[in-house]
Amino acid sequence: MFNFLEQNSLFVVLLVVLIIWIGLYYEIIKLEKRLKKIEKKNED
Amino acid sequence: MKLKYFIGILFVLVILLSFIPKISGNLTDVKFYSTIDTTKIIPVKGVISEISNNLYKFIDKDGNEGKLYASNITNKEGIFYLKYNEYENHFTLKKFEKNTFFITFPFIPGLEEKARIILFHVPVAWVSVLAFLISMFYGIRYLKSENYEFDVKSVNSASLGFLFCILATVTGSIWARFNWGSFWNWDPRETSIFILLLIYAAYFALRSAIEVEEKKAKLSAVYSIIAFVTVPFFIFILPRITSGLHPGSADDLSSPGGGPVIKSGMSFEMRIIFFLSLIAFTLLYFWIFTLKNRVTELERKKI
Repeated sequence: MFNFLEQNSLFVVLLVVLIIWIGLYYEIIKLEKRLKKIEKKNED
Repeated sequence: MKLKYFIGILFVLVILLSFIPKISGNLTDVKFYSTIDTTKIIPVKGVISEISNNLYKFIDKDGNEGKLYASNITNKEGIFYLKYNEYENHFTLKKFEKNTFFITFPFIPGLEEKARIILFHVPVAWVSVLAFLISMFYGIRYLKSENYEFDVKSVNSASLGFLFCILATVTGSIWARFNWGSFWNWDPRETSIFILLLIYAAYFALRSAIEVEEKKAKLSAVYSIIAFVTVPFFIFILPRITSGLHPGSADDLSSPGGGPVIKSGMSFEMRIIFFLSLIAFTLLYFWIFTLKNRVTELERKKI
């Protein structure tokens, strides 16, 4: 894996962009969970 | 146009513009690095015109001229992967690639393709500083007015800043594995961001430790101000006055005496894409920040 990334360093850039995306996605999922809780309370 | 669509379009643009341009040095680079590493092949964007059989005149993107020795060339323009022959003062062609896109990124030895990471890694770090600043701003406003709304905004901004700080650390550590050989090198900037992470982790620990709402808000507002006071020192001062691996350190030859990271090796086109990315990440931060504020506002109304 490391050898592949070392030889095709464009994929390292891709990996970095993906990690940033995963981090932001995690934040949005957390927000969605909080919203769901509010919706549930609203129904009750 | 609505902000969220604008951010989306801006991100598509930034990601396309950071992956499509090819790396291209100039003939001076080829000459220089051939004396250091004789096996090194360097891409150069340029135009050729034939002088005689197998011998071409090569003009690179910066207007430097050189003699190119090659056979079977059909294209006159594109990216030429060159090696320099010191004894006969001509370049030899190793590989050819068509290039139709007008922007190229500069050739930076050691970084090469990885130079593109700077278009994401630095804006993320910048947004974390901005988020901490805004956390302090709302902390001060809370202390002035004792309005619960400002406390919520202060926490939301700090938690987003913490996320971006972690992202900057992780992406930087991956970059370090491929450029400096190890995930963590205790470079001044790495050390200072680590301390910064600890400082803001303590902020969240403090908040969860206090149960009384008013006391919690007041203490965390004071703490967010104290925490931000250390940020300029850790991000802007310490890494510039000490010698380290990051560009812009005190022993960096391209910016003597230290300076901002972005001063190193970026061309004009790359700098424009860099600032586009900076704007995109900043707007994205503000969008998620307002979303979080709206959700916490809803939560508060329901209680």
